[in-house]
Amino acid sequence: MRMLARGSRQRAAGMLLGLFVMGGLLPEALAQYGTSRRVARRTSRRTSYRHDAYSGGTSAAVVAVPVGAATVTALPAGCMAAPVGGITYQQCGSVRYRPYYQGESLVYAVE
Amino acid sequence: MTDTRTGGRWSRSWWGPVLALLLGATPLIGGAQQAKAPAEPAEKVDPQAQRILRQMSDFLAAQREFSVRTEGTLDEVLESGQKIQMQREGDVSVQRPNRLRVDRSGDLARLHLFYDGQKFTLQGERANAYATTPAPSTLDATLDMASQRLGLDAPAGDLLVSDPYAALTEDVCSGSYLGRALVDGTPVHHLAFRNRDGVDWELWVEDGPRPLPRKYVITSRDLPGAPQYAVDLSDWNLSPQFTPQQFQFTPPRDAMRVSFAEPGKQGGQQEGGAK
Repeated sequence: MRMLARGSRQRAAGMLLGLFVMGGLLPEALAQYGTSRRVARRTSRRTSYRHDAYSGGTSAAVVAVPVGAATVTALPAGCMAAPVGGITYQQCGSVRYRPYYQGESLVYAVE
Repeated sequence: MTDTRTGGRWSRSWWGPVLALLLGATPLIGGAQQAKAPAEPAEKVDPQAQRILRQMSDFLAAQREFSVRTEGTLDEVLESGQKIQMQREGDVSVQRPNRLRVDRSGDLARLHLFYDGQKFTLQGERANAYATTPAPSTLDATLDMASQRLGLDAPAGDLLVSDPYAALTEDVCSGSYLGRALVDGTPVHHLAFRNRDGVDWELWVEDGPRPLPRKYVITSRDLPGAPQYAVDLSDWNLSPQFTPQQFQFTPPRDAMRVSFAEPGKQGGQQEGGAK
């Protein structure tokens, strides 16, 4: 199932409905190809946010994906989970991926 | 050309363009005034619409805890312009001021959100993964954090905050009362509002002693394809029996722990799996 998302990027839009049926891959496909513009915004865009006083501090919980890191939304076959320091990396041959939730979509960034 | 003409003919021949300019400019001026109109203060909200919105907001804000069933759709507009409608449904549980639990399934995800006053967790069932972050001490601030720092937008989050009226009307430039209607067989008032920032929204408020929101539609009119979010709100329970455990996340033993990616800081190299 995950392999499907590795198809031709040109045919992404055409594949969408097919992916739909496969289930679970649609968000990845949408995020992957940048084809979606979400409607989902609240009625108002606040000019000032109530949590401005809140500082999340430095935490491993919310992390910027390193600039330039390639990300995938589906892993190749044969990856092994490799937990390190509470984070479950994925070792796929010689490439190691770190998973992130990008909004509601799970993505993997090359380490 | 004009230099061969006599003075009289010359000046007369200029009246045409001048007149046309003047006449042509009039609608332009009118148009400019019209375009500016929405930026003016919210004077065009129908008093009845405002009153019902206020009643709904006050009633909802007064509920210390509640649960509600949500069934809705979310449009995605592809680059081709094709609009795809995603379905989603779920259950939302709120305990003020600082507990939230969402169980949602649909085309885009099957996920759970937990907020227990200290931590905020997103758990995805399909990937068997979860991400947890320390959270602010109120639901209001946590919804903002989720939207701003985690890229998790709750389109109907304005209904969940402590002061829904303030959140909903912040950017409103006009509002109408469209009359009575039925949602799921329940008599409702139909309200329609327009915001300055490119959002139109409609709300159907239960007619009766419980002025609850029963349906909510958001249209992003300034985006190509004007995608919509629509949700039906049913099975309102204003005296639920919550347990503290409902709002706390306990990771399944085999679940994969991941981080939240900070939005907007993504490297520009997203290659998908296509490579």
